[in-house]
Amino acid sequence: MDMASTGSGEILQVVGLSKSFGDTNVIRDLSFTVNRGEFLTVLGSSGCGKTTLLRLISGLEEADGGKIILDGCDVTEKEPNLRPVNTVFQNYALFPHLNVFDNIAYPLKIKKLPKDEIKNRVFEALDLVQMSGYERRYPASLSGGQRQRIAIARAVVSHPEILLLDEPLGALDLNLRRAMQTELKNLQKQLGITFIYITHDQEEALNMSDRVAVMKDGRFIQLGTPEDIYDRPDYAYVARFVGEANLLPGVYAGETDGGALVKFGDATLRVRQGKMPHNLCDLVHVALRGEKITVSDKATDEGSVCGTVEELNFAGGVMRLTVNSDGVRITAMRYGLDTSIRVGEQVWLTAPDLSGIICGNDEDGK
Amino acid sequence: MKDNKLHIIRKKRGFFKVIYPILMTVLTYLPILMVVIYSFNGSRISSVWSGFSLKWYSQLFRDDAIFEALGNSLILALASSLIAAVIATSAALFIGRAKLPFKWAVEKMSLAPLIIPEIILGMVFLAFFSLLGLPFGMISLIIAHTAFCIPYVYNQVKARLEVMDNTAVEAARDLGASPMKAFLTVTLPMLMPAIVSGMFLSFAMSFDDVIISIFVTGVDVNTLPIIVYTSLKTGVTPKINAICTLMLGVTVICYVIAGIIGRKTKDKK
Repeated sequence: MDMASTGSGEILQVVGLSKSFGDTNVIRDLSFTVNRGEFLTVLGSSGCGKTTLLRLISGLEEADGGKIILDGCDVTEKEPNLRPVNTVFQNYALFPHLNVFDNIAYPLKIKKLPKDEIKNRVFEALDLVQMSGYERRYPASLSGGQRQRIAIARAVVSHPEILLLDEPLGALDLNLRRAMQTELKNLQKQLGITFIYITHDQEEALNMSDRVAVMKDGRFIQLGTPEDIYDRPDYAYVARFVGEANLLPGVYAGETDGGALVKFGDATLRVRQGKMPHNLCDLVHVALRGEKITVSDKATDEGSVCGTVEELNFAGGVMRLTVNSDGVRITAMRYGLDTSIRVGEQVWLTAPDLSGIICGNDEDGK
Repeated sequence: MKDNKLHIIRKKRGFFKVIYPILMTVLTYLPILMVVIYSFNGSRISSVWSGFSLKWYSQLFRDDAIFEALGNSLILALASSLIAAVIATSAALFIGRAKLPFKWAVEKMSLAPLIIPEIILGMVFLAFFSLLGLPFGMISLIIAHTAFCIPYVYNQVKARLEVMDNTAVEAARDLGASPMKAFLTVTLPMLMPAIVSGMFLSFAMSFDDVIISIFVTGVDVNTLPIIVYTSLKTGVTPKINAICTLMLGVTVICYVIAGIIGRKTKDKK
């Protein structure tokens, strides 16, 4: 089976795509490209338009405007059956009247391949998703995880250029979800097929993807590597949505070498410049990850801020402290159980140089 | 005291628990059982039992008029349930997908034949066919029966469509099937149990219909129920009992098959 066609270059170009249902603009002037063999995750909360985007690419929904160029061909007007793109649906969408074999063989029978080849490829696909021996079973007699595997086998058996996955792990329990993440990633490497993966789960997005697009109101507000998204959020929304960063309001106090100075009350912190230019004395928001913040009972340097511990949450391995500093609530993470800190106590918070980053306002993202 | 009262109530409930099923069974099934038993009666007089015999059945099969009527009834039931299946399935698919302004009214209207009294339906068909100048006979029978069979299939298909997962059809399109191919390989097979169970119900309804048939049939085309009805003028003979038993058998089989198919689909869901 020659599935490994991991060349470079663009497999998908989306140009100025738009779609509305009634008065609601679900996709707004969206443009992006996906490289061959890439694992792209579209991350967004429900209602951000991510499923519609997937349906537009697969052809199950017609675009109002813009172009979808697949492997050099404009497929914007093409019927879904004429696009070399397959979907793994959120509810799996297996054919209940067909057994596992016939489900997986469906796209091959449509292509009218010879019987022997169909048989070989179905068994290969079953092997790939570790479901050999299940070919005579009906979907109704399979568990959620098993149906998931069959849906994936059916979607990859005809070697599509792109596999679209619509929250495929959403209905599985946490342990199975974690295991499937690794498996999907391995599968993608093995097949060399481009994956476009839709999810609202930031852990999935960061764990599996080559690139992550954070989607909001029908647009990508940031598209970058998982490290970019996590460590260098362009906008406050991204910082909040991915890993719940602190967004600290401060006053821009000018550039320094390799960063910017931001004043938080009396404390001044050297942070990284974001994408947006700022003027002196502008009010800016600095995204700061809770795990970067150190907590101590005395001021360690001039950048420390003082606050009162308002809340302590211990969630197995990680302790979250919510500290109120002059009306600003800051969340800090500590690993392991620390009984020395109590609610109501005064603590000093310190963040290392350049750990924070200035984020753009969400309004600028539009 | 309290316990005692409870006990009495419970006892009363126990009494009703027994009496209701008995009443129901006696009222519905005893008369049917009588007809079935007396169809095997050797005596010429219905009310006198003179031993088990199959002679009325053998007479039935030698009676050309009855044999022809049976043929007519079977052809009529088969044709009208088949045509009704095609029309009702298309209608259910179309109405289900369409965004019509008065969808609920259209849906309710399609069930009209179930609600309108049969005698009125018969009259309406009679008037309508006369107006069109359509000759009365098998064709007019099939048209009228098809009309009142449609709601039975329509109801079944509509109920199935409502619970059917439309993403399966989308998946078929996504996997390379043209709209027609997706319909033939996914939609239709998924609807088939509903269509077939609706057809068996229609078959049973058509097979034992007498009122509408009497209005729209011609002089020379008789169905089995018409023969039964007209022969009542000369009194209930054991032969009629035998016909009724046969008809009962066909109807029961149809309903049972419809029920089994219906249940199977539910289980799969």
